[in-house]
Amino acid sequence: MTAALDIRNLEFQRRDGFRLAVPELTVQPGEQVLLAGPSGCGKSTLLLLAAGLLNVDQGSIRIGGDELVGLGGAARDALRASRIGMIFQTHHLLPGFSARENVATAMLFAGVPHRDHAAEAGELLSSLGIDRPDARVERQSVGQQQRIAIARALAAKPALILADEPTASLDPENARTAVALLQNACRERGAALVLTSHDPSLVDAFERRIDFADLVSMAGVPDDRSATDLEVPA
Amino acid sequence: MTDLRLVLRSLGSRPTSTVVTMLLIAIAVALLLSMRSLREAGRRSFTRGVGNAHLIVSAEASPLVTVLNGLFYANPPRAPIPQAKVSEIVDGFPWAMAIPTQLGDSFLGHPVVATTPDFLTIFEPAPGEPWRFARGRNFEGPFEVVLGSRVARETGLDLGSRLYLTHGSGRSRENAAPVGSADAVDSAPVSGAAEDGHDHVHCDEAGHVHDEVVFEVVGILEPSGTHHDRVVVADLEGGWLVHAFDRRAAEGRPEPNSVDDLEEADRLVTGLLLRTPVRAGRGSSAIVQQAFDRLRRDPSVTVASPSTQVDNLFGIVADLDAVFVALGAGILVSGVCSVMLALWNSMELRRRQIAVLRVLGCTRGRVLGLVLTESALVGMGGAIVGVILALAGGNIAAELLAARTGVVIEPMIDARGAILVAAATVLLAGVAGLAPAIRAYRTPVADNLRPLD
Repeated sequence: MTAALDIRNLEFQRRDGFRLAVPELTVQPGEQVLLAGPSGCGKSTLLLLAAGLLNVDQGSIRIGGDELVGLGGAARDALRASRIGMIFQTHHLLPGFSARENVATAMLFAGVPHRDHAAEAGELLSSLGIDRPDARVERQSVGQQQRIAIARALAAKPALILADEPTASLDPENARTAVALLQNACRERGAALVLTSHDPSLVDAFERRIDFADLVSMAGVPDDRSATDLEVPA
Repeated sequence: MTDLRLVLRSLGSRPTSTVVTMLLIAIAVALLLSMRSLREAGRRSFTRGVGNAHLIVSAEASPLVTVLNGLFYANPPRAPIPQAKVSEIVDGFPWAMAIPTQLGDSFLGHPVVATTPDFLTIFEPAPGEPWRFARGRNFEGPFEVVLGSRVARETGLDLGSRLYLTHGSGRSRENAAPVGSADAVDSAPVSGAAEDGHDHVHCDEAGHVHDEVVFEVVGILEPSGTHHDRVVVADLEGGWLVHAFDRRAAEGRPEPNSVDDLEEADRLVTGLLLRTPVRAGRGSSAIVQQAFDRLRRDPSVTVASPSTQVDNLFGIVADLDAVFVALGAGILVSGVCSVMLALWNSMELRRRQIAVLRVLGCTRGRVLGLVLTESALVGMGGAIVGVILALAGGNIAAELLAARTGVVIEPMIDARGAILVAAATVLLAGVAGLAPAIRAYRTPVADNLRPLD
């Protein structure tokens, strides 16, 4: 079976000297993995590397069997659009757009036919409990925004969902609810999930848990500015 | 969702900035198009006001002044043409139209054309559009006048009204006021026709009023859409008579009692409107040039081709037009610069949005294209609104001009020019969007995905 995510001998060094090395990480299709570690340890950087939003210095990253490293910018963007969904702590929804439009935007870049956008987005949002898909995202509650972000990540039927501290701003109860929702949504759609968190209460929710410190070898300054001074792929 | 919808949504999320920027461009486009349109409309209106006269003869110093004074009533003519010369010109060529005019008097600021009845039958105020009477008839006696539509509208005079003429341009007659008929009758010995109680208008300013003669309104003209609508058309002999009164008084001689008492020296003409015979359906003929050349050889008169002089006039002001067009273009460029500034500034606020689009799979090239499209759309919107503004503004200006001066202009936006200006605007806006687009293209994704504080 082709792995949803297969990282081998990955090496990355930031301009400020911070270095990250991941000898091996494999996530099978539909598998759900918790990457646990304290804030600033490099979890976000690893997800950005896996999404092709940062250039690796060395190694291999395969998404559903397709090599990401070495691809040109446009090809990497296309691969990300169709195979990877991302969820962030602050949701990063497009302001001024409705929930449906946020989801449809992801479909647009993934090459989903235009005629299917509205209906598919509506269906997806409805399955996640969004009852006002045409309301602007600013007018939705924080919980609803989280669901919209999940819907957008799943819009292109990706093989892999990368969730970067999606519960960091939630209280423990809501965090568990949100994670359960995300896990169910991924399970229903057959998407693998890699979720980073420093919240120990989430440990029980995942069958596979990886301590980030065990996964990587790091050097240099701590990753307290997770994305600062990082080089962006061309 | 489409790229276009994405762009429109993005513009819609900054409504104030978008509308203001678009409006700036619209104003610039409207100014540019209006200047072009009004310049052409003005030229057409001037050309139209030439009427069907092929030539005009006067004793003025230059052909341009001859046309401006003799046909557009800019100022009273400087000097009369000797009667012998008038006869020589009229009899010396087989004219289709030879209408003598005497200008120099006015009524409440409106020029008075003392002429023959042919002025209202053969002369056409606009080519192919003869005079039409709204009410009444052409003048038949020496003390009858016909009012242009604007004169009738502004003075409120109607058929049967009585009036005095004023010597000079009448600019000082702004304070003129209607007076009771009895006063006017007392001072109207010649016509003796004021006993019927009709309203009279007397101009009591410092200028000399020809109150020896009272004229009666016998006709009101339909609007012709030319500057001729602001004239009072009087009988030439009546005009001669009022001046004969002054002349006799100055010489200490008895006043004339009727046109029969006029002498050769009283029969002064300041202009001759001439038209050569033409074939049916033609506006001009080769013999116009022949007649023109012959008259030009005569040093005692000045001959002018009205249409040529109008062309010359617009040639003189062409440089001024260029300045206005350059001004409009400058405003357009500044409007386009505002697009660049608005987009550039918005980029600072939209870095996160662009980063999110990149996360969703939008390529850098596509980001560049989206911002350029955004810029071009603002330009296009501004250009469309600008064309609409120019059309509406031109029509409003034309209506105001018609209401205030009686001159009809047709501000037509030349479709080719409008398309060119609109295309140039979109292109310029696109170019203006280049810098913000490059800024968006280079937006670092990872940096802008950090959680907000």
